[in-house]
Amino acid sequence: MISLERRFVIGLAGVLLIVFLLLLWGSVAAVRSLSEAYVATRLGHDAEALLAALSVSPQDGHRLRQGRITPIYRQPLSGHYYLMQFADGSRIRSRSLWDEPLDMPRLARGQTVTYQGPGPGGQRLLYRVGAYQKGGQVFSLLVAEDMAAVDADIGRFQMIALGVMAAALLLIVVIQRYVLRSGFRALDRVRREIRQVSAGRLDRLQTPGPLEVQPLTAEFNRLMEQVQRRLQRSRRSLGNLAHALKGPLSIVMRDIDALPLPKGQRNSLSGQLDRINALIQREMKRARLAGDATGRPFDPQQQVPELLQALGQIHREKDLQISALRLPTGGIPVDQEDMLELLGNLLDNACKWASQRVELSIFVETELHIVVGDDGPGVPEARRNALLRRGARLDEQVAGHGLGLAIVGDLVEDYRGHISFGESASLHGLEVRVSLPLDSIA
Amino acid sequence: MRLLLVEDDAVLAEGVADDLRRHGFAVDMSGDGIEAEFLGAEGLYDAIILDLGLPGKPGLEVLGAWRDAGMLTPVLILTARDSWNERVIGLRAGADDYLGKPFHIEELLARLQALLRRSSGRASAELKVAGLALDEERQRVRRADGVEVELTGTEFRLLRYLMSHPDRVLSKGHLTDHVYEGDHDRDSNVLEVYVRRLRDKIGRDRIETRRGQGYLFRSRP
Repeated sequence: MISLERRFVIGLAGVLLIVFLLLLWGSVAAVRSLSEAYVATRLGHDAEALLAALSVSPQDGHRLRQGRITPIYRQPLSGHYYLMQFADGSRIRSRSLWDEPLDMPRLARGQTVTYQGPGPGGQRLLYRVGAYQKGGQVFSLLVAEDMAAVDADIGRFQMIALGVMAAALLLIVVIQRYVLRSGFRALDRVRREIRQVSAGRLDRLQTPGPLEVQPLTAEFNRLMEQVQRRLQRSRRSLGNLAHALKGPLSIVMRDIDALPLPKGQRNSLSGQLDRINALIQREMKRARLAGDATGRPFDPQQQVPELLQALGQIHREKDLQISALRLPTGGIPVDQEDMLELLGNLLDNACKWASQRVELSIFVETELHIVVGDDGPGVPEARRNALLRRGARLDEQVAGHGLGLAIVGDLVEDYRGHISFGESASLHGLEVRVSLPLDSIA
Repeated sequence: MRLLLVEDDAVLAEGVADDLRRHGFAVDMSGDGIEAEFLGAEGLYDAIILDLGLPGKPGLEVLGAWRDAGMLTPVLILTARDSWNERVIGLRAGADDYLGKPFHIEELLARLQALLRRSSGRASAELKVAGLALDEERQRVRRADGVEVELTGTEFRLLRYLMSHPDRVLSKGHLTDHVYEGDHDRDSNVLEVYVRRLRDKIGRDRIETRRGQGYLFRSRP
């Protein structure tokens, strides 16, 4: 797996390291050449002073007036040395040189060279050598200074620069990591929102995210819109088709009912038509299911009483007592129309079977639970499994029976819920228990 | 009993109207929401069958307008839109019953008869007044002496209306409105002929003539 963060950190640190090292090398070289130039200039001045202190006469030969020379040249191994070499082979050495030998390069007249080399006592010296002529005498003058102090200064400078650069590198890497992490946190927000979209709590990403991610989030939103549009279109066309089929189906159903057919033939035709109708109904309802919480939330306190009243009206002939024993307060994040369809079908089924009473309980205990019981004849345990089967009809006498439960089954499946059947403890008829996970929705 | 059938599918409307007429109802039809609202508001109908998807004006708005105007005629919604959400909305808008398409005509008849029974304050399924029992299925009447008498379509409609509204003075115009369909020739003399025929079949003293007012069906012999 590629870690963008690691890549960025390694890349940045590598580049910075190279830049810092070049900078360090360059600055050390510059400081060294500057200080060498400075020392060389000083050596030049000392050489001029030595030249001035040198007196040359044909009778006395050459003599250096010591009083005019800086005392540092008299301290042994002070790090400041001079040496004069005359054409006749005689030499004048600074006292500081003690007995240490020094090589004198051969130079043409008027030439001056500066170079570094080893000196007495393991010192590293900067040499300045020039060839001169004074009072008819031709001689070479060598002035040298120990670079140890300068080297130590440069070394210290190097250490400090190295330390500062290391600290800067560390700081930059840390800051970059922080910046990246906070950038990735913005991605985290986007990821969380995508999860919410897939859970159906959002229909599009709300925060556009950082500029670099915006094309992605915009693409995602476009894709979502496309998917939703397609889903809606196929749902709508399926719904429209089923809806449009109902008109002709009604006419055919009426015509069959009205035709003077033998009873067996009419029942068979009529039965086939009922099957077609059941399939259409089921597909139409299925097409209409939201299957999530994208619609308006379900408010049991408000919607259940209205539904019970409607059911009472539809089953008015039976004079049923339909009661809601438990209803949660507040909105539940499930689609209102889906819930009405679920409850309507469950209760309608119960009303068809019940002799007097139907009871409904809705409660939330990590999941949304719906329990509907009636005081009808119930269903023997062996036949309960068949209740959800497509088009299963337990009682041919009760029109549309079984279809309602099949639709409930589809709905529960869509919500990844669970449905089970039992005997009602209080009413002794069939009890249908539905549970829908709320975490897949909310 | 006179019904208004509001349905925009002409083929289905004709078929259902035929069935209803065969079962002794006078049926007026409308395939348009605005016309239906106007017709229903006349108050001539004993029940209305209303489709929701109508041209002109949506069925729910038509129903709402009727109820806002204080019209109490029972309304049965007959529609392909039969989700529970739509049922609840339809019933809350003032419908008395709701039937999804497609449907068996027996189911429609059963629900319609239940509605009419309730609106005339009757509890039992059989229409029975003062020893007379009306068999709505076979369009016959059984007299107190146990003899069953065949009725013609118009006789049946007239007798059913009278038996559904006993001990009330019903004007000739009112009876004509509820026994005949809209385009029928309204000659009150024809009604008199039918009343005379009914009297021959069920007994002379059952239908009382109130001069200048109309007729009254007596619940006590």
